[in-house]
Amino acid sequence: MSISRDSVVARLNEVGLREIAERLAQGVNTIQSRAGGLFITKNFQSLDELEKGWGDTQNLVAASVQTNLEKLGLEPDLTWDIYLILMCPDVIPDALRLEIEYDKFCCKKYVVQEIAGTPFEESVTEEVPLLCEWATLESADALHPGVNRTAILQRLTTGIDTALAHAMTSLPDFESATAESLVDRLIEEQAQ
Amino acid sequence: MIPEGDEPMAEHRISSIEVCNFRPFDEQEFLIDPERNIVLLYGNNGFGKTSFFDAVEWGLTGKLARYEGAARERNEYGVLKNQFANDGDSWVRLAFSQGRALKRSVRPSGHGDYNEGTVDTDPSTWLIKPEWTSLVDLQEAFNLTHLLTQEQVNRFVRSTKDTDRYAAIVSLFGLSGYEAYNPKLEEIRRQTRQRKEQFEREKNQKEQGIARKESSMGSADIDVRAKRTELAGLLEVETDELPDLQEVQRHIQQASQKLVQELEAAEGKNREIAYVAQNWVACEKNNQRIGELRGFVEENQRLTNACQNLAGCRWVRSVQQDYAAHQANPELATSLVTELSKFLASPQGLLSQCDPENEARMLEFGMSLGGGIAESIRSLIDLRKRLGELTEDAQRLETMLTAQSDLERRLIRLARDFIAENTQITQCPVCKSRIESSQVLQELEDRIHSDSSSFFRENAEKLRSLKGQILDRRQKKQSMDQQVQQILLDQHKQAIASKVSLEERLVTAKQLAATGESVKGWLDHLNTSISVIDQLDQRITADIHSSGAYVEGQETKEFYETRRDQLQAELLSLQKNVVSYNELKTRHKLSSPEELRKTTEQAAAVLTHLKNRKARTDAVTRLTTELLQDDHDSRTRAEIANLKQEIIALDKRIGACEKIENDCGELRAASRRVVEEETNRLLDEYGKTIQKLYVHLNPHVRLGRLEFRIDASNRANNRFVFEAHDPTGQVRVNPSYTFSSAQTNVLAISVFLGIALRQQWSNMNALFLDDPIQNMDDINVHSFVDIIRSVVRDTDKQFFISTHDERVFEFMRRKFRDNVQIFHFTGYGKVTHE
Repeated sequence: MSISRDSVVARLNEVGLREIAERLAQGVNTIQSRAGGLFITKNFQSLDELEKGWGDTQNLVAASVQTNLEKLGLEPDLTWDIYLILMCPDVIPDALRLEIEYDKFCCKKYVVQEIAGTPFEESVTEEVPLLCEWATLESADALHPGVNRTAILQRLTTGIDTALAHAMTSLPDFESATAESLVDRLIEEQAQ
Repeated sequence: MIPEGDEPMAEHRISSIEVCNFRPFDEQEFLIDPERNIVLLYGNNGFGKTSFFDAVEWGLTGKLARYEGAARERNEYGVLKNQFANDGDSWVRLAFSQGRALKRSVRPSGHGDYNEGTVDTDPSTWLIKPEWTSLVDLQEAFNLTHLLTQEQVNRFVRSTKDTDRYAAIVSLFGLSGYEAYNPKLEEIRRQTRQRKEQFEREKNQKEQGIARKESSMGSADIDVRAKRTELAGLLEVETDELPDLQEVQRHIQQASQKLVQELEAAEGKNREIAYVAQNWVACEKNNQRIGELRGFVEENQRLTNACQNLAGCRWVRSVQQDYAAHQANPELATSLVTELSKFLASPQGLLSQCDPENEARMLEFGMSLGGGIAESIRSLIDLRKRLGELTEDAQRLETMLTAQSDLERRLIRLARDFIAENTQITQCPVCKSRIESSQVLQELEDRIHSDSSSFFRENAEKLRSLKGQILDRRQKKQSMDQQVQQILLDQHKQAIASKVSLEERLVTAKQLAATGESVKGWLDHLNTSISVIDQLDQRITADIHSSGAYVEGQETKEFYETRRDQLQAELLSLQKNVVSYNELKTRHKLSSPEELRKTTEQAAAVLTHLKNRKARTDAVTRLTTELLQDDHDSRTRAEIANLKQEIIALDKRIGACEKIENDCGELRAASRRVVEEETNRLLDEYGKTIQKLYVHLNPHVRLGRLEFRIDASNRANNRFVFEAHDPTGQVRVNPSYTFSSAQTNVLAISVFLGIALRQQWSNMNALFLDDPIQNMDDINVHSFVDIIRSVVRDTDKQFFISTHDERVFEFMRRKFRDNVQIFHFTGYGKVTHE
C-alpha cells in the first residue's frame, strides 16, 4: 500500500481540513506506506531548521494524519504504525538525535542524514528496522561451500606437497587405518 | 508472511506441540497456525512459558542446557515430570510442517527423572542437513541458533571464555571437519617420533658397535705373505703346510709357559753358582771369624762369672763390716727396744693406740698429755657442763611459764562455766549491785592478764637471755670441739709415725744382727775368715783385669753379659750364612774350584739354549698373533662396512620420520590456518548481519559499532573476541566488561539473530525467544519488534516469543497485527488460545 502526499492533501481538503492540508502540502514531502507502516518523511535544509522544526512536524502529523486515519481512508490500526523520518543534510549531534528518536509523542521518529549521492531508499533502510531487507539471506548457501570430506581435504592440503598430504587425499583407508600402519608405510616409502 | 509465488518451503516449521505431564502441564496441545509467522506467549511469571520452550528443547535434544552443569542436584529431585499430576507417562510430541513428528517420553529412573528419555525417531537425521551431519552437535547448535534464552546467550556473551566461544563458533560454522584430522595427525606425529627415537637408538648402537670393532683392529697393515714365510721357517715347515693358526697359537702358548719355567730354573741355578764362585774365598774368612767369635763369647761368659763372684766377695765384706760395726755397739738393739717401750708407755704412745672414733678415750688421753692441750680440754669440759646447766634452767623456766599459762586459762574457763550456769543472776548477792555477766567475765580476763603480764614479761625476758647464752655457748663449744679434735688427731698421727719409725729401726737393727750372725756362722762353717774373702777379691780382680776381653773400669756382670749376647748373635748369623753357602756347594757338587768352573760353563750353556728357544717361541707367538689379528681385521672390516650400510638406511628412515613430523606440523598448521581464514570470512558475513541488527536495536549512544575478530596470538588456541567501538574506531571496549545488562541483552539478541538468520546447518525454520526483551527500554522494544516484522516479511522464519509484560504484549499484538498467534498462560500450566 502506498499513498502520495497529493492524495492525502486532496483527501484532507475533501473532509474540510483545508488549513492542515495546506500546511501539509507546504512542509511534508512524501507520505509513503510500506511494509505495513505509514512512513512520513520531511526534509530539512539545515540542522538549525531540524532543531527548530521537528516538533512542529510531529504535531502536524499527529493532528493531520494520526487523528484522521479513517477520514483519510486508512486502517485505524495504522495509528500504531506511523513513522516520521526527518531528513537533514548536516551531521546530526548525538544529543539532538537522542532527543528526537527517544521522544514518545505521536509516533516513532528517525533522524536520517542525507548524504549527497546516496539514494533516499538506501539511507532510510540503513536506519529504519522495519525497512530492512532480509530476503538476501535466503541465498546464503554459498557461505559454506565445503563441508564434506573431499572439500575439506582439498582445502587442507592445498599447497602442501608432501607424502602425508598425498596419503590423506589419496589413501581410501587413511581415516580407518591405524596411525602405526600409516607411519610404517610412509617411512618405508620415503626411505626408498 | 510467506512471499507470494514461492514454492512450498523445504524447511521444517513447527505445526504443533503436545505435552503430557511435563513440567507444569497436565495435557496441553499447542496447535500452531501455519499462516502466521509469530507465536506470542503471554502470561505471568511461573505459569509455564519457559516450560513451553523446555518442552521444545528437551523434545528435540533430550537435554536442557541450563541444567547440564548441575548433574548431582538435578538428580535429587523431579525435573521433567509434572509433580502435581497423577501417575502417568510424561512426554512431549513435536510435529512439523513437512509431516515429520517425534515423541520423546521421560524414562523412569531411580534417581530423579532428568534423562534423555526415549524418542521414537531421531530428529538429527532430518533436522540436520546431510552434509553437516558429522560436523555439528544437535544440542549445542540448537541452543546457539534456534533457542534464545537469557541464560544461554548472556553466558555466551559474558561468561564464556574466548577460546571456548571460538570452538563453539567453529563448530557452528561447520569448520570442525577441518580440525577432525588433528587427533589423527597428532597420533601419526607421536608414532613417528617413537619410530624416530627407535631408529636413533639402533643407529647409536650400531655406531658404538663400529667403534668397538675399530678399536679391536690392528693399528697397521702387515705383509701377510712375508709373515707366513717367516712363521713357516720358524716352525720348520713349508709355507703351504702351515697348520691352523689358532692351533699354533694355543700350542705355542702352552710351550711358552713351560719354557718360561725352565728358563727361570736355569737362571736361578746360574745365580747360585755365581754366588758360590763369588764367595769361595770369603767363605774361608767366615769360618775363621766364627772361631774368633766363639772365643770372644766364651771369654765374655768367663768375665760375667768372675764379675758375679767379685760382687759376692764385696757383699760379704760389706756385711762383715756392718756386723763389725754392730758388734762395736752391742746395746743398739736393746736401746731401741727400751725407747719403743718408753714411747708406748708415754701419753703419745698410748694415744697412738687410741681409737679416734672414741671421743671419751681421746679426751682422757688428751688430758694426760698435759700442757696447753689439757687446759683446752678442761675448758671444753667446763663449757659443756655450763651449757647443760643453762639448758636445764631454760627448761625449768619454760615449764613454769607453761604452768602459769595453763592456770590462767583454767581460771578463765572456770569463770565462764560459772557465768554460763548462773545467767539468771543479775544482782550481786552481797552488794545487790547489777551484774552484767559478759562484762564481769571481760573484767576478770583483763585482771588476770594484767596480774600475770609482768610475770610473763620478766620470765620471758629471762628465758630469751638464757637461750641467747645457750646459743652462744653452743657455738663456742662447737668451735672448741673442732679445735680439740684437730689437735688430738694431729697428735695421733705424730704418735703413730714415731711408733712406726721406732719399729722400723728396731727391725733393721735386728736384721743386721741376724745377717751378721749368719755371715759369721757361714764363714765359721767354711773355716775361713774375712781375710780369705779379701784375698779372693784381689785374685778375681786381677784375673778380670788380665783378660783380653776386659774393658777398663767395667767390672759388672751385666756389661759382659750384654757383650756376650751381641757376639753370640753375630756368631749365629755367620754360622747360618756358612751353612747356606755349604748347602749350595753340596747341591751343585762344587767341592773344588775345578768342579765350580765346569759346572758354571754347563749352566751358562743351558741358559743360553733356553733363551734361544724362548726367543723363537716369542717370534712364533708374535707372528701368529699378527696373522690372526690380520684375519680378524679383515672380518671386522666387512662387518663395519655392513653396519655402515645399515646406518645409512637408518639415517634415511630418521630423515623420513623428521619429514613426516614436519608434515604433521604443517598440516596441523594448515588446518588451524584454514579454520581461521574460514572463520574470519564467515564472521565477516555473519558480522554484517549482526552489525545490522545491533545498529537497529539502538544499543549504545557512543559505542554503536561491533567488531568480531579471531585472536590467533596464542599458539595453543585461537580466541573469538567481541569488541564494541565508536564510529571513529578509536575507542574500543570489551562489551562483556563494559555494557549494562540491557546493552548486553541487545548484543545477545543481535548475535543470536545474526547467527540464527544465517545458519546453514539445519532445515528447521523456527526460532524460539524466551522473554527476549527484558531490561529493554521502549525504543529498544520498538526496534526489536520492527526487526522481527521485517524478518518475517522477507523470510519464512517462524518465531515463538514470550513475555510477561502486559504493556509489551499489547504493543507487540498491535504491531504484529494479523501475523501473530497468541497463547495466553492464565494459570499454572493453564493455556488459552486467542
